[in-house]
Amino acid sequence: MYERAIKLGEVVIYSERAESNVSGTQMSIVKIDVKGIKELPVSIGGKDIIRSITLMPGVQTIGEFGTGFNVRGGSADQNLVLIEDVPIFNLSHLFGLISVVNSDGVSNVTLLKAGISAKYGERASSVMDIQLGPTNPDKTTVKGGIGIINSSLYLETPLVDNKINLLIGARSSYSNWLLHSIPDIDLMNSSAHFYDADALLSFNVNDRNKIDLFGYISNDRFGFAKTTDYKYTNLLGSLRWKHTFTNQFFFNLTAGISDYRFQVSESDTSKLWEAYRINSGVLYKNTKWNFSWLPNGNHSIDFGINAALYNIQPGKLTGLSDSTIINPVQMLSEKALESAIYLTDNITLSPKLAIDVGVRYSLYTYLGPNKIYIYQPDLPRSRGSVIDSLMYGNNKSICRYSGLEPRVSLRITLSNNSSVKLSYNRIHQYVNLVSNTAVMAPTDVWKLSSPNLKPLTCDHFAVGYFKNFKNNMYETSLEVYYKSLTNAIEYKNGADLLLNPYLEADLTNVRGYNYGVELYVKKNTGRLTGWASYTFSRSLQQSHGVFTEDKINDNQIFPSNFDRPNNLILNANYHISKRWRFNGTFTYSTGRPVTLPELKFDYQGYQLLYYSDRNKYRLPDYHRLDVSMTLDESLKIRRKWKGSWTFSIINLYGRKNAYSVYYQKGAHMVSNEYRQYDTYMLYIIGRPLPMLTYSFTF
Amino acid sequence: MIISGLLISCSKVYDPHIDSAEKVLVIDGRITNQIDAYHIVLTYASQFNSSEKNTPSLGANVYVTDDHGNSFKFNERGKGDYVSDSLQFTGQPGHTYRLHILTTDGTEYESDLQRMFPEVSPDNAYAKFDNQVILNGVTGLKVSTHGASIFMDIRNQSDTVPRFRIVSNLVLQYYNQGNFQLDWDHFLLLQYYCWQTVNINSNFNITDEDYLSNSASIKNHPAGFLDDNNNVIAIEYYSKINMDDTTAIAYSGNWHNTYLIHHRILYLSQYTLNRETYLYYKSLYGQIQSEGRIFDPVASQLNGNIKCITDPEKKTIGFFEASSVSYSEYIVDLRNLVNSQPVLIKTPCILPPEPDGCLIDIPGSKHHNVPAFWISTGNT
Repeated sequence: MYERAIKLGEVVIYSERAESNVSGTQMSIVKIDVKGIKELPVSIGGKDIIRSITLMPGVQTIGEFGTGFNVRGGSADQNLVLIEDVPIFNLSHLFGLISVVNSDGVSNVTLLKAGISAKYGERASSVMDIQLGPTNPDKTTVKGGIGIINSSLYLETPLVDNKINLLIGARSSYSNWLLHSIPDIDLMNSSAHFYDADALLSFNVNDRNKIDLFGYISNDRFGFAKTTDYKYTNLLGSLRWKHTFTNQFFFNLTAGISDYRFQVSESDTSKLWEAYRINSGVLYKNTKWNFSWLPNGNHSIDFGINAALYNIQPGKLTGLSDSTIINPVQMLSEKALESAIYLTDNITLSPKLAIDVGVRYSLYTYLGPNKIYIYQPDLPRSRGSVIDSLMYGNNKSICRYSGLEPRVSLRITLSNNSSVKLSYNRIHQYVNLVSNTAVMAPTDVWKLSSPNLKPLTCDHFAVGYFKNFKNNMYETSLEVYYKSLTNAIEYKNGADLLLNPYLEADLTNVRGYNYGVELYVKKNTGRLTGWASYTFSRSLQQSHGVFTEDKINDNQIFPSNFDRPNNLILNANYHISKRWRFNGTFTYSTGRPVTLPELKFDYQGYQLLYYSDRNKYRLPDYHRLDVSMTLDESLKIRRKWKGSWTFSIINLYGRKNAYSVYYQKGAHMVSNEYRQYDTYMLYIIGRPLPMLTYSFTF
Repeated sequence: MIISGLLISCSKVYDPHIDSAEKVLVIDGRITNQIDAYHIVLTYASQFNSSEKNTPSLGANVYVTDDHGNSFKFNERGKGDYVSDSLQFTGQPGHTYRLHILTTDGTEYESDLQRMFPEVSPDNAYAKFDNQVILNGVTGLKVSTHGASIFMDIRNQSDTVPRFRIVSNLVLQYYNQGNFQLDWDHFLLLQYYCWQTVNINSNFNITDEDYLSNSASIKNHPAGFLDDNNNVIAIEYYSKINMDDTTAIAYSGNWHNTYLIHHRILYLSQYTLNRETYLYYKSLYGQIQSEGRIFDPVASQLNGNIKCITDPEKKTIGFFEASSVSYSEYIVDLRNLVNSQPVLIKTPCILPPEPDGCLIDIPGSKHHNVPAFWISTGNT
């Protein structure tokens, strides 16, 4: 007798019902459940949910490094990533090589790229909802894995006559060797360590009441170039009460907290008077009260209220010794309340027509204490053009933004196995991650909308054709989208982001124009499963500045950092036998835009560079093939210990995919003699990377 | 357990295709409030990945106009260097200036109007012993070096927002002696007074913007670092004797030698910048500060203040600056310490005639040839 879990014909990433991709109202959705997670392609740190999501059409990353992911040309901060209903602000361990989500204990993951329900707001591009839950609520299970970078251990168990379920998991790393192999002199002299742990306690009080208590912590420590030390921590917690009035009417009341803290310190012992520490962070608290009413099988109504309180500490600089020459800087913290009410109605009007219509009204209040600068209107914003400032007391309303966010999704069934779907959503986003680096960097700053920084508004239109073949063995879809971003944020040339009380003066608003076509074919059953997707997309931006400083590329349309027009993914799982399975994933995408030096010139004894227009050039195209072979030790259902070996090779043919281009200067003499420049490409995985991982469960 | 025996990352020299064949004029020009010959240097930028050196723009018509309708011609001195007549033209704080250029191909360029702000002197300068990792100018290697960091305090002396750039030049005085053989029995003793100037800032040094936010005095502004070596590797000079008047002229060869440093003299030039100039230097600073490291900001364009009049689409690089400057001079004493720290002794400012040079004095002759700025007393 063998386990069904590896029975031939299991899908890798699939919807709740085989035909739900056709029959559901929701379009642009990616769902992964427990079985799907088991067969995810292997990434550097093992099975990585977020890295795997980036293999789906319309989802990309800027490379092996880089925090988060980009959905349909949006920046990473435009994704609302929820773990048990609480947003997480930094998704990365090791600068993006591994995500902070431990796949052990995850029961399902849903990514919405368009047609986002009115239940969700806050971020403009997508929602990723990660829910934890036991694999089997009735028995104790232990899982573990020993990987190339980290190891993990996980326990789930019922308690007190199955009234309580406890999940607890943790991971820890030993990843220094990896950094030492990256040919950046600073990274070679660096060290890194991370851990994360999560726990979920579910208490079935009675038939009508259930309480979930969730906690999560992740910690990264990164010693950069021996003297600089970075630390960041995500701390998440939530308490959820589900109360059922009747089988048709229930609510979920959730209170959550997300605390993200970042610290950078530099303590060269030979110069103690210059040693310093900078602390920054985001404290987010929210409550959600969602009511669900299901009048009948074809009709569901959700309504509720949300409130989120942001408290951002942009930076606090302190000296670390008594003889310090560091002038302490305490940036004023930012506080805001974002509240919303919503109503969404999903109704199947006829077998051919279903509609999900909703509306969300968000109200954002920027709160004191804070100091607001008034800039001279006929000059570009800068420190020098400040003509006045206004001080506001604690919790005093400084400014308000609000707006209606209509959401519509429509499904028209064409036949038993085909449908057309349309969707439109508008979302306002009031918090942004400001960055002028290609990767997550210490200088990245979370910034709230303020009187001098308008909120981002995203209007997203999508239409799709969905058709299944051969009794849902094959799923296909064609989606076309257009996404307009108003008041997106770009940094001005030479922007100074760190500890800058006039940060808004170094930023400029741009319009974003994202559009694309996504083709998707998936085989769900048989010995061979997998999918192929091709996306053509553009992500363009345009500034509308009046002053030279506010113009990017002279107000001409230019590609955003995430503009990679062609993207092809081929993923195949082949079940060779009951115990052996093979996975191969091929990825191709157009190289991402970069700004390169075009000219060199002399100025006052220095040799300097003149750069191209922003993002004028592109890195070479990216392509990579990863393969893995998995052997399950025993499939006998009576055997408690079940182990599996996975041998994988990342980047099988050793493609040197450029992550970034940088230039290095030759010796700079004290007497200002000329420097020589060379341009280099940095590869994160420049050779085939073999890995052997052992996973177990009992 | 894990087996992984291969390195995974690498980098290699990359030669991207750059499609900029345009001939772009670079303007490097500055006028000040000091009685001096001002220089406007015109060159053409070279492609980033080419091995060509920048070529000078020759035969241009260069002049500066002011807000009183005056026009001041700059005469070509070769290699794209155009120089004003110090007797005819001195910049005046409070006035505005514009640079005009007409190149031989008929292209006309013009700068934005530049207002010159009044000069401001530093309140105080002082030194602290320090260790810094600097590039050795001879070996090209980074070495930890003991020396002194220079700091300045600057008080805002006007009701306008002050923006400054500091140039810190360290003049190293060194002696040499030689004999000139007149005949079998007679020699002339030659005393060489030589000096070498080094810029002790590795980047453009502009004052912190936090200073701008409150217009109060700035404290502890770093003004450079100098090592405490007793010796300097400097140019070796030779003598040419005029027997008629018993004078000697020094000329430099291609050789360097090691000399004992007699005095270190620090010249701080404090330029008062207008807003546009400050922002330009800030951009330059950002570019030089960026070492191509993985967390460095994405580089961006430098926007100058020169426009092509005949073809507004034509790219132009560089800046024309009108900044007043205040010079101050300090003897750096690394030996006679106060509170265990080096001492800066302020002295009347006399600038060396050239950055590097040598004068030869023949003791006993009627013509003394000691540099006017020379510090003779003691040894620091």
